[in-house]
Amino acid sequence: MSSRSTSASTAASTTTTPVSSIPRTITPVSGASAGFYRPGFQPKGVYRPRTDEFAEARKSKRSAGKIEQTRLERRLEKLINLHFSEPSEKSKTLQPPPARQRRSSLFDLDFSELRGKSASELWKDVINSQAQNGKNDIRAAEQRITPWEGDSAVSQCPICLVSFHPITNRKHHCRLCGRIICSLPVRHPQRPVTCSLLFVANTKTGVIEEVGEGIDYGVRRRTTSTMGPGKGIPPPGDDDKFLSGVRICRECRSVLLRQQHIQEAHSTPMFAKLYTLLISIEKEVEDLLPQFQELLLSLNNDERPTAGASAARKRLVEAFAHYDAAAKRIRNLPCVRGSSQDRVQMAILARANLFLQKNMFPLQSLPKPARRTNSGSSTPSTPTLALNETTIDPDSELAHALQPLLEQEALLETFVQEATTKRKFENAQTLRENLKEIRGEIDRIVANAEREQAHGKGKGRT
Amino acid sequence: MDVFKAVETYITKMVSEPSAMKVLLLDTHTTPIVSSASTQSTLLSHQVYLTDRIDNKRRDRMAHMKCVCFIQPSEDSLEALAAELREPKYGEYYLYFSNILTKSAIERLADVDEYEVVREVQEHFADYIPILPSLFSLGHTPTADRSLYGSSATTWDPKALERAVQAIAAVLLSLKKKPVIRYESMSPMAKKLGVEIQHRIQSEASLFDFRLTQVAPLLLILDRRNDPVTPLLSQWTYQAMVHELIGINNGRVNLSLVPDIRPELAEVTLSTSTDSFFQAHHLATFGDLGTHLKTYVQMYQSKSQAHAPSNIQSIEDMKRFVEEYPEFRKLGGNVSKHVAIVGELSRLVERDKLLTVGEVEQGLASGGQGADLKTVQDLVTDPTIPPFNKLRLVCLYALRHQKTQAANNIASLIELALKNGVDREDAKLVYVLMNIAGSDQRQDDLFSTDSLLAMGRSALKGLKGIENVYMQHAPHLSQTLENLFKGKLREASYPFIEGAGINAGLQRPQDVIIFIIGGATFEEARTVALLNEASSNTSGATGSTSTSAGLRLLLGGTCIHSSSSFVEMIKCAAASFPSSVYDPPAVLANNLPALNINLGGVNVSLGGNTTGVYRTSGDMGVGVQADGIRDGMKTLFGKVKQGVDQIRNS
Ligand SMILES: [Zn+2]
Ligand SMILES: [Zn+2]
Repeated sequence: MSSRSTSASTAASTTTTPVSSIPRTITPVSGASAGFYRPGFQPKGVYRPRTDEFAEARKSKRSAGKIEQTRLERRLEKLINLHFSEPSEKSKTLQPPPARQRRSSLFDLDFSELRGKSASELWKDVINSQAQNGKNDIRAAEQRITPWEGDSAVSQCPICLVSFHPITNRKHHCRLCGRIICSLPVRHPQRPVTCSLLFVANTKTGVIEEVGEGIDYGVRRRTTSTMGPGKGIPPPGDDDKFLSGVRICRECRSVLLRQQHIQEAHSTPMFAKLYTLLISIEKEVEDLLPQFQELLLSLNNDERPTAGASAARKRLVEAFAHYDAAAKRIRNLPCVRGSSQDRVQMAILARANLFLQKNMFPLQSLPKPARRTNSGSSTPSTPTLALNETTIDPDSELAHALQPLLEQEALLETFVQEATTKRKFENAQTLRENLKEIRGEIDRIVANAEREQAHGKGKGRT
Repeated sequence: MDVFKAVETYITKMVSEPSAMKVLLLDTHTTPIVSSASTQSTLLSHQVYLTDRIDNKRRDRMAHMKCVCFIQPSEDSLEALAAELREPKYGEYYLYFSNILTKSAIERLADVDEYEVVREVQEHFADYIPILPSLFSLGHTPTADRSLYGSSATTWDPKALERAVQAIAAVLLSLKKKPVIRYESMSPMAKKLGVEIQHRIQSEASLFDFRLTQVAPLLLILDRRNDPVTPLLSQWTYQAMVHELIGINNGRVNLSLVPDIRPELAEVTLSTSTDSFFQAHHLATFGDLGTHLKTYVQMYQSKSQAHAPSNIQSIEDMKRFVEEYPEFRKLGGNVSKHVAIVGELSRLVERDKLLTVGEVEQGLASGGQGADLKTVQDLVTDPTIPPFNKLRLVCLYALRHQKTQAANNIASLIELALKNGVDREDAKLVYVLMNIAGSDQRQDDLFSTDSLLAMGRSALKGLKGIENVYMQHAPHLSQTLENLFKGKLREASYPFIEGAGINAGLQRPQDVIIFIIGGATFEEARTVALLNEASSNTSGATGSTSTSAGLRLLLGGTCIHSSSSFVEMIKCAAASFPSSVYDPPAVLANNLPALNINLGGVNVSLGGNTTGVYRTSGDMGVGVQADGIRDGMKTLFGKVKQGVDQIRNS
């Protein structure tokens, strides 16, 4: 018997020997010259990086358009500055800034003209001059940024080929490339997207948004759906209920989008910050756990945990609590129901639950340090005892009997939640039944205790 | 040669970089590949929080997320990707392609990457669906608009051919195999595919530049038409039965049509990689399965007692409970899943009288009992048997008796089937099958007594599992493989594609990849799996002379057939073939009228009812034994059903 088992183990060791030589075998060598694969060994599949070719191709395509692209980007920057910066900054762009015209009001008018006019004429003048002067200034400034195409040269929109008309189809200039385009709405099939669009920007946050067509140049502050949630722009104050949208042509839109993309890539929403936090706690736990496990191994079962082990446990428990809190905060961030953001937040919570499930169990196996103070309140996701907080002494026998049940209850709650999120309803059902039983048990213990207490009190009184 | 592991490794590699919140974009082609080889929790653990389709135009913009994109380099997917890059919704892009990317495709994408969001471009050859470690599929179940065949049963649809070349090249690259190629000589499609693959290997020399094995692996290309019998049979092992009777799609089983099914079981996953019970018993015969399932249920019951709150007495119990609970929960879900599936299989077997039908099928397919006309006629006239099962019986009878004296009975059987509920469009398929996969098209005799006797002596015979009347049939593949192992696979029948080494025919290969044009079956997959098992068990023993020692087999097909998908494929294909495909085969044409039965069939002349024409080698002893085993099988069904009912009622 024993000789047989020996020979068997020898056989096993000889067969496993080649396995240990795998590292030598898999060093990547091209060509057959280096030798053969060991029969039955499965190498990693072939893959081929093509990134360098891609980058090369991108570079050569880009360099041609690069100069033009940079020029348009500069123009965009100037335009944003002209239209959307604070008046104080704006004046730098509007040069020379005849402040009187710019800020024209009733009091800026020449009073000698006033005499011969009726009240309504007067009013009209004020409005017109205000609008006209402002408009003309800005137009002049815009044309200093971008030379405009001459009106006479163009009779139809170069994109959708519809003829211009002084009333039904007016000419518009793209403020970036300067050419004339239409502002007609979408119409299939000749104009599947509009030939031009309006945008607004916020110089403080750097956020650029496309906006819908409004009356004249005034557009309502409204976010178009393609641009995603308009974060960053503060709610409109009284003076910017109507912002002037700046018109650009469809083909210059990419310049706008690129700018937008750069801006968004550099901003970090709260969501991303919380997520980074979550991942960093995960790393912390992963670092702590092996240490803790080692400490645990050195413990005898009957022994009280050492100070080191208790401290490690405490740190872990705290980390779990933080982790749990971060995961829940992410889940509870406001977002549109059913949106991608909603799905992502749900998925992150699912990951967090898996992580807790996998890593919190080792904690259970440490004999718990006697809780003199602060009973269990640091244990994560234990709904800390609204039940027994007021009525139950943490050191009492009852508390010791309840504690594990309550922890279990909390765990089951997370399981139920997880199963429901993952749509594993049969599991959720089983879990709910278990949860019900556990709760029944808790109620029973508490009821018993109360009865005893009442009984004891009664006794005391007599 | 584990294709499951190969694809899983690719996918893990793709999703593990970069370490940040990610969205995974797939196309229609890669979605089943990823869902077969990865799980939701694997993706979550790699920070993939969103999976979406690249052609979904209604995706939200999420600038703070990074995008891993795994798509096929097809025109549609490249166009969708180009549109995505023109207006990127995510911060960075890591592009992975399931096959070779052309230079012009790279330029096209580079051209639209104005935002310079692309960080990585790679080819990862996870371009086929791994179903079992030794089974893959191209996921191409032919339909009217996605055809496999061209204008005849011997020509490829060009798109299907290119797809097959790509997928097999990917299989080879993912396993680092540079094979010699053999093909079934009866099949021009197999030859064409072999030539194209050889050409692809040569033209992509830089990809196929890896260390070789001592003996070159073999790629053996077969044609479904050389064995039309296997996909027509009822199945009697677990995985094959589920696919035959309910259907397995990308590892998922739809149970929503099962009477009284609980909503959470309406769709379940069935994969050997995540389900240990299925892993252990997916090849088990239905009788054995009943026993295994009973044990499984009992184990769960005893565990659930241990987990009942009344049994949790101490804190130690509690700790154990908490530690074991997730496993226990999973177990509970899995038990109810298998109980539901097996319960449904039992119901369908009973409803469709499959025990009766299956026995006759086995007789027709393997030359045993029940192969005579009378038996088949009785079943065809039985109103309780579904018309589709009647059609299968007539097809099997026709294939079996095409060249025997009983040939005259084929037309009469078709006539009888038409009178007994079989649709005219379906009945036409009997002749179609004889025309495209009949004895004149096949290169090997599926029904010869010689091959039966050979099988009797075969070393493979012991692998067939429980010897019973429902497991008599062995797919033709097992004989082909046996010949191969013995070095008896004739070059005339299985020639090499030109360009193989001169001595290729002399070496016995160790790694064999079998690919079946027109679809493989789970019955064949089982044959391959059992041979692999036997091979790995014997290869450890010293001085083993077993023919299969050291062999590693991998099976693939354009799809994995059930009998209904096979019949459907023939039906769709025939519609684009010359109309003569519906005529009676030449041998019959002399004495048989064309199948113009819509005229009423009054004057259809038929050969007399020649009884006893084919009552061949069935000796009575075997018959009696078979009856005994069949009774045993029936008893087992009873037991399974009983067990299932008990669980349901408890
Ligand atoms: Zn236009
Ligand atoms: Zn423009």
